[in-house]
Amino acid sequence: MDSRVITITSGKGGVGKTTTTANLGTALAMQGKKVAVVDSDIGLRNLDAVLGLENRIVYDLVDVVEGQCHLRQALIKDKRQPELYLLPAAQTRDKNAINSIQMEQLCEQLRQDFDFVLIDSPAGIEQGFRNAIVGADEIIIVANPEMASVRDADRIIGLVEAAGKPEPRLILNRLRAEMVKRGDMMDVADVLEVLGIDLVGIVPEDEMIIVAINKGEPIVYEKHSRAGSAYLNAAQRIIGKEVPLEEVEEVQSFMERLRRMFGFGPAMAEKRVRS
Amino acid sequence: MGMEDTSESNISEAQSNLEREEKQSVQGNIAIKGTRNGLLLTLEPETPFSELLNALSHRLSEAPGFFQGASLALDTRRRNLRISERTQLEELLANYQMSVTPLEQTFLVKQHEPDVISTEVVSEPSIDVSSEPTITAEILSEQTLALIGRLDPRDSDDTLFLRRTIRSGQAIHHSSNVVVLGDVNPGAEIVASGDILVWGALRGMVHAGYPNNENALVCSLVLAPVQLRIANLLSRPPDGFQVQARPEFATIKNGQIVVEAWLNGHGRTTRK
Repeated sequence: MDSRVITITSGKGGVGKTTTTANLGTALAMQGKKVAVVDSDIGLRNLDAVLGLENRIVYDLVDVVEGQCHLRQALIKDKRQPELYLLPAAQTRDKNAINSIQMEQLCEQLRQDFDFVLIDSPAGIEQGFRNAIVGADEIIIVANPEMASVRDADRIIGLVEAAGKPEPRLILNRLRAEMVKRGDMMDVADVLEVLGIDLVGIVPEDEMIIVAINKGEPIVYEKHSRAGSAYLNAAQRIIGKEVPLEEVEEVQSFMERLRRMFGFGPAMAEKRVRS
Repeated sequence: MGMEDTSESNISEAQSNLEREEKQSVQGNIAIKGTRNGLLLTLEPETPFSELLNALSHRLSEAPGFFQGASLALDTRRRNLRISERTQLEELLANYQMSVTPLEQTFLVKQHEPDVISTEVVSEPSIDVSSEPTITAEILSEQTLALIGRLDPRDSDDTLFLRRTIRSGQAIHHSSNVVVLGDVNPGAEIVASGDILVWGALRGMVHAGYPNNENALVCSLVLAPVQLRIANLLSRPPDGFQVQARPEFATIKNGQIVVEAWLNGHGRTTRK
């Protein structure tokens, strides 16, 4: 089977890896793909809660790796998508409970049964991160349009390349169009200028996401959410369909351009979404 | 396992004990030895370079954590490298944020730490093909010192050419010039004894003319470093600094780091 193992990572914490994993997984399943989402954030698991599946966990990833159960027993079927499965992380263990070789074997095993295996990576660049990428064919980096996140993303790109993986792709998360317009936030071009990698999606900041997470329902089910449709589009691009990138801002007026030139905002960048 | 788990402590032990405590790993005609001066790489002279490179790549991938950021001295007594080979080696090592110091360089550095100098380091056989006479540290360092006295460090070694973006957390340390065809991002670091040329945007930290070559130069298409050092001087962009989207270069003038636009005529930097 032509299956793809994709790791979602970021370096920095709190930028939306888990939300992205849950939503991309759900969106891919909605496209009729057979999907496994794997929470590799051992000790700090959240993916189960974001998907609203925490009360169904019996076995977890560490149990599988240690041979306490079969892979099939640990996989939890999603509430709504019959082709979506979650492999939860252990909460009572830590990142060193598994090693890279075990993780690679696990990925190979999942590959047999699924079209897509999405791995939610922990924050950081230590063993947990290395475990998360070791079995991946592709890496998707989630970054927010702010300096700390972009720098960490840059660091991660370097590490991913050093690990011999193909160049990662980017999901730019939590973009606030009105702030970008005021020149108070890095825009898409600013981020791409530093990172120099391809975009898979631009997800706008959306209050509905917080509600959705608390309810344990991925935002992609919300018809009117812009973030939800952004994730749906990103999933389409992952499958290989041509979907134009979200228009996040209007082209600037002449005055704004002039203002920026004279130092009232981040310098240089051309104010258009690179496609 | 062995080496991966213990070498780091072994090396420091060796350093403190000044013992013949030495770890050696031979694999596919390459040898990486932990000496008290750091890691020493020996390449078997008969083997094709590509094979050696593969072997080294394999060796590094086995324990990436251990080699990360290490400086590796290349033992050129039995096998010297062509420039293209040297570049390939540097490229491979750069993946692990490692850098190559030529053997002489290692000894030069050791001049500052007299207690570490020892003839033993070079005269110890590293792999079993050893039969030719070995050079002693005294001769080598004398030669090197004489060389350095006469020559600009920019001439003493090959320029390192990097055709990629240097990203956060990656450090390039080189004993001569460094040319980057790509960007140098914030959090990245380049330290060179010679000039640093960045054909791209320079947003990281660079140190040209390390440690004390005041004739060194830094230039870039977009010069926006976090910090810029030349020889023993340090400068950083002033608060509210606006990046100029034009090529610029930095040199030392009258004891200060000065940044100027790279223009026809004005920017022509005849080498001092």
